[in-house]
Amino acid sequence: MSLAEADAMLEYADREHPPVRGARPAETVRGETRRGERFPSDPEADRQALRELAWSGFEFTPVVAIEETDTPECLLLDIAGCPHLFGGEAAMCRRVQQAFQNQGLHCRIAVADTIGAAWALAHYGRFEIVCSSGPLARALAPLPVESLRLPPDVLKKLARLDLQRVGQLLKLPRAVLPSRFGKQLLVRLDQALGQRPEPVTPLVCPEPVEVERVFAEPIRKRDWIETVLEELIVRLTEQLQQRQLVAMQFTFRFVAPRQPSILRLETDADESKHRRPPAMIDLRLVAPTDSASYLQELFALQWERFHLPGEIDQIVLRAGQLSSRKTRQRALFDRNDDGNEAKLVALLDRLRGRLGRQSVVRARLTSEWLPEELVRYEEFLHGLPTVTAGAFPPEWTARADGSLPPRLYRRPFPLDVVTCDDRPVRLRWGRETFFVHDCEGPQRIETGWWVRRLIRRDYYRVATRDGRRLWVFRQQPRDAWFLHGEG
Amino acid sequence: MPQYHDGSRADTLRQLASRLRQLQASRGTTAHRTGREIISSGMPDLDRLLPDGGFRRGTLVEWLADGPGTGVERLLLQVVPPALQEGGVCLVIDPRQEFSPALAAAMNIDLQRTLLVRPGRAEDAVWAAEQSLRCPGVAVTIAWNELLDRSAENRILRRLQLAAETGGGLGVLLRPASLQGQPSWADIRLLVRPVPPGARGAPPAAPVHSLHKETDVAPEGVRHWMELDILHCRGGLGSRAAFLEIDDETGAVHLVSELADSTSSPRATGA
Repeated sequence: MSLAEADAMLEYADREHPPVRGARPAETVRGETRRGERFPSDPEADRQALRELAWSGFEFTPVVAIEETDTPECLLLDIAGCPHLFGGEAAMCRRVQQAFQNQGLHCRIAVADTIGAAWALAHYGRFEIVCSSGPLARALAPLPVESLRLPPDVLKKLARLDLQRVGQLLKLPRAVLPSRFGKQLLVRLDQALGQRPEPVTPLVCPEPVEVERVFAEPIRKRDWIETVLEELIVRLTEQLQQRQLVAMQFTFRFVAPRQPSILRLETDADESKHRRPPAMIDLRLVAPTDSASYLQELFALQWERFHLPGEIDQIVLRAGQLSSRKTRQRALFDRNDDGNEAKLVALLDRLRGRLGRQSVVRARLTSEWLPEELVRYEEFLHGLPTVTAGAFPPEWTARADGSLPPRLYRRPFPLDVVTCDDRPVRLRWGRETFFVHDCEGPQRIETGWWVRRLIRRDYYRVATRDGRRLWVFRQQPRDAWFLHGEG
Repeated sequence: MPQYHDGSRADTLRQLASRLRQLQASRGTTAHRTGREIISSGMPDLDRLLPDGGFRRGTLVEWLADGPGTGVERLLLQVVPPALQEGGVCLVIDPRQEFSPALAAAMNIDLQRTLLVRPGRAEDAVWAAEQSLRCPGVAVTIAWNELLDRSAENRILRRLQLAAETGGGLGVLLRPASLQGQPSWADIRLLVRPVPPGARGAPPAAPVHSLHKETDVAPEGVRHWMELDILHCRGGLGSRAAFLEIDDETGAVHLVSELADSTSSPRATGA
């Protein structure tokens, strides 16, 4: 995107959504307040971010690559032999989309027989998810010629001749294409149609680092297990340090002993059927580490609440989500000048370890209208920029609404309300009765019927006779009243 | 000891009040505290009532309020923007998931640096508060819901106070007003009561017919009043009370009038 385009987008965002009252201006240019910030383009940082993002792809297929151009912006996943594991191609695409959405990213996905066709359909297809079936030529024909990844000078020549669609190119004799438009056009066309190979360099997923301890006899005593685990953690971190790696995920697997052979059926050859499913502790950190003492501290938080279902005869400790120690880690917070980032990361790890990953979140405003949907909560994920990539970050269209109450209930409470001229005069909430002194509203909030089921609410800000402030709404057309907030 | 024999009773009272103010002011300014250790409460009028001119880092501030709809949350959130000015993050412990980030953003609170912790159990909430207060990277910890609503939890407050001293951040606790008579380790205890329309110091009640006319209710609907009582303040003498006016549109808080003395129960502190 050019700087001029970025400026135009900022101005559009400012015009559509004037700056919020009291908001700190991000940047002031020629005396005007702008909501966006400018950063110099850094293609190497973009490539690094895409490489970090590519690790998510290994969840779906063992072959993941990055588009081979100077400014890559696509991930290539070779899913041959994988879709049936996820319930088919369409279901797999939805899973991939969900995985990226969980990281705050919006993506377009296409499945096709060739990289060229998948690239074209992902960029210029009609839908966010396109699973191409049938002849490639038919799928590509309606797409614009830009979908063939052609250089700008070739695109200019095609535009002069009013050749806008791939289908028009396919009708031309092959022999004339290289002489009139250069060799690149035919190469790209053949690559898209699968008539010419297109090599890619897959990323190499580092082998997991794993240590284990097998006991001669099954054990259950927690003190003993704890001692062994401490030793395993030290061994694992030593291996990480030797390989110059750091990890963000540590899985402790406690394997139950096999059933005695007398209880087994001779015909049953599968080993796993004779074992109880292993108990697990899964530590997922905010930032990668290779420190034994840090891991032992986090493990102790989980261990004190962990119920060991029975005897065990093997412990396996595995480090996942590996990366090089030299990889520069992004800051968790945009302002990090006080030198306390490491202590904050440790705090977050401790909180997530004891309370669960979903219990420590950060809020992000959205452009929804329903008060309970105005905010999206997201987990802390390392390796992602604090403002996620995308053409229109949600903050641009979000609004910070000062009229909302400071306390907003997760689920509105039903109220018994006496009204006069359609306005509340007395509210009853449980055993408490509030007499309305003053009431501001209604403010109607309504969802579009085309988005989901229709929700229509009339909100009132109520001041009671004893000076309290309540936020109530009347649900239409059911004519039911609810308390949604206070203060 | 100054002598006050020559004036009338009113003059004596005036002189005593003046002397009291001087003592309070001198305690606030001569203390060995630098400006960095004091955080503005976000409300200049409240800062003027506090001996340090704000909240001291490494301490607990306790807000007491009773029942729903008092609006105390609007007051306690005012401290967050000034607290984040020198770095750090704000951590909100919100077991019931009722904190409204949209309003926080409107109050100029940086959501990128606001962490929400949602513990499922009360002991987890206390543990999370202690961990957060102990971390130097957290500028302000807000125990959003009534985290400590039992009187027998004074020792937990002591732990939190020690954690705040260690970490150097500010701890803000929201507790029910019924505990105002209980001892506490908080440096500052503030009681908030909603002010009924027409009560002492507040504007008169709107006429009944205005209830049904949107045009009539508009002027009063954009602001409301509450009574703020400083029950206890380390370094301050006696309790003080004031009427505050809150503008719903801008979120601004103004001091309407300062009351002569508090009408609350005697101060209670464990410190």
